Amino acid sequence: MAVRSSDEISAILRRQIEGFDETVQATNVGTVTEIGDGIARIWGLSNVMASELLEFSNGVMGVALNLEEDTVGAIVLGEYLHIAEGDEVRSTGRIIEVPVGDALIGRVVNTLGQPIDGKGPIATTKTRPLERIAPSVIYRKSVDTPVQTGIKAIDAMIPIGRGQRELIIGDRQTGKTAIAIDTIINQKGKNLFCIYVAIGQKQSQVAEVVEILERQGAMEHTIVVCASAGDPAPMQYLAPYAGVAMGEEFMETGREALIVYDDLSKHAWAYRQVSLLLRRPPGREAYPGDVFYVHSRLLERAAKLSDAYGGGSLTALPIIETQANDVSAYIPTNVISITDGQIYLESDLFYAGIRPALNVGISVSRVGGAAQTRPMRQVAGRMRLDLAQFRSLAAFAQFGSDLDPVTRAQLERGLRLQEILKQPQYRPMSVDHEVMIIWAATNGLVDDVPVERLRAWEDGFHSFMDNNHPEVGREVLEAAQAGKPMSDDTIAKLRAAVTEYKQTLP
Amino acid sequence: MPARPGSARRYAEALFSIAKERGTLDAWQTELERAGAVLRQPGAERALETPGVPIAAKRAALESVTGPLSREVGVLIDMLFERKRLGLLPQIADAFAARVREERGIELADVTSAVPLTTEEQQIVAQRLSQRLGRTVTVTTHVDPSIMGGVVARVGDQLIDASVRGKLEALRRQLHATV
Repeated sequence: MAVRSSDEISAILRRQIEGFDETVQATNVGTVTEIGDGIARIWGLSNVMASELLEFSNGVMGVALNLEEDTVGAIVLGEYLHIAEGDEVRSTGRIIEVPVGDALIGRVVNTLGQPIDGKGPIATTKTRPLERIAPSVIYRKSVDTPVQTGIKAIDAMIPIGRGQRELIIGDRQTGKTAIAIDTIINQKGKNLFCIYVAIGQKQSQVAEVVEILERQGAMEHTIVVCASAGDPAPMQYLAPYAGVAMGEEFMETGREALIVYDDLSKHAWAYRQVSLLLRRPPGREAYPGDVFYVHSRLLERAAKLSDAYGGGSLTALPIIETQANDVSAYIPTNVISITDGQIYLESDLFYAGIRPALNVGISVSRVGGAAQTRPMRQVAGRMRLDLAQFRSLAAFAQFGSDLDPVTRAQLERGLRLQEILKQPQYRPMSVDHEVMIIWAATNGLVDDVPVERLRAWEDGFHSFMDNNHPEVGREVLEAAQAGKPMSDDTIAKLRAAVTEYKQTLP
Repeated sequence: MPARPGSARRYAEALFSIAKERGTLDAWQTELERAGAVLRQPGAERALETPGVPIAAKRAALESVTGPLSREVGVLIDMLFERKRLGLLPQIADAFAARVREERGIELADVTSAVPLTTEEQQIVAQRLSQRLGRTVTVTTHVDPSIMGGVVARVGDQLIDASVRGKLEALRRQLHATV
């Protein structure tokens, strides 16, 4: 907020006091009969709306969730320890909303959109309701543009489109957040605003993520919404809705946004807690009956708008943490069925050194090729097939040593592809680099490079291409932008460049 | 304000519908209130729910305090004895009274002022509230100097805050929101 002189402030105050509306209005009030665990039971409030914002006598806000015959069950947004039985509660006539807009970019906020990064107030006047009906069919358009994650394995085989919902699922410590963070980092300068919603995480973890994003210069296009493990369950429950409201602002002003929910398992836990405390009947695994709807209505708000409505998009990357690789538990199956595909991460692969620990066999993207650049589709189709063959052969080849040359060649190729798909953290790659290295690998140009030296070979290859043949990368990018496959000419140049690079090596 | 369980309201509603047919609303309301007042005495509920004492004896004991009860009210009380829900009686009395008020279009208003209101002032307040709500309003008054001036009226769940404190509070909030 701009610094104002005291004269100015006096003038503003004067205007405010003069223009003060003195009309008396009737408000709907109730009395707290029970309070605890972030939940209040209120007697009265007979005309309150569902999810209406309530104000407790000490200024803390709440949301009416359960409307019963005489009482209202409400969640308290904030400190509930100072609310006492017998306190008065007023209804406000508003439903819960958060501030939205560009002023939030680069900030860390809580569920209510209040800054928690110590960088001063957020100057925005625009707000949006947390709960909103998702855009209907006529507003939408099918997904056609990719979100470049900068991760070779994902961009090549599990392409994510703008407006898609792609689940990232896996056990703890398999690199789920890392994929989301790399994706955010890769959007630097790409006009894709990112929102990272941390639900029920340790403050230290969130601080770490923010620090990484800052160090990588990715906070310039990112909003972090944080409801950490220490925040009351109602705040954790509402955090993703706050995030999606901020994302919708970008989408509906014709811009593109990406939102990461890290993670929805903890969100379901928070919602379970709130529901049980509100005495809603428990269902499977003690989750309430509407836990599916809680997630489906959230993820439905991700969309690609048609050009008539501005053509904006909101891509969702929900994260689910499984227990001991059990994807058939309640919440994982729910979210799998809602999303347009999933990225499976496995701890076995992770410890085998395959990082990102992607299981390419069962990871899918249901939007698929439509959301892939043409050059990438051109080179990656082959890779999927090669890798599938490699996996079936690798299992088989463990038994025998005598292999015919064709099989051996396939195995060697597979090993190299697997090696190529490994990628260090925080090093997202540009599309041209991805296309060139995958082209080289699928066309057998790296078959003579020893697997253990492939990583170094690749690093050298990228810098060689940037320094000696920048025109090839440029042509790949141009083809990608034009939506055309690489021309034969480009491919010939690429082949020549790879050969040239190999000759420079000892 | 005590919570009024739905069951008390259902008993009251049943009795009310009989009373309305027979035109005995006022008589039964006073009977219920008297019986309810007995039950509100500390220890009364426990004494009357003592097992081993026959219901007729308990009812006689109750009637010795309240005076004779009409047949229907008596039957209701017997029913409550049988079901061991005599504790509901004060709430049934409240619910019955509320239902009678609703039938007659009367609202109870709780008016708080900083200084005691004169009878005239009370009438003006009642009249204004009646105009505003379109129903007859009966006023009970309280004095609370902390509201500084003006009146605060509470009708059901509606709060009409025309006090100086309320206005200052609203002004504070408005200033707080913009500066």
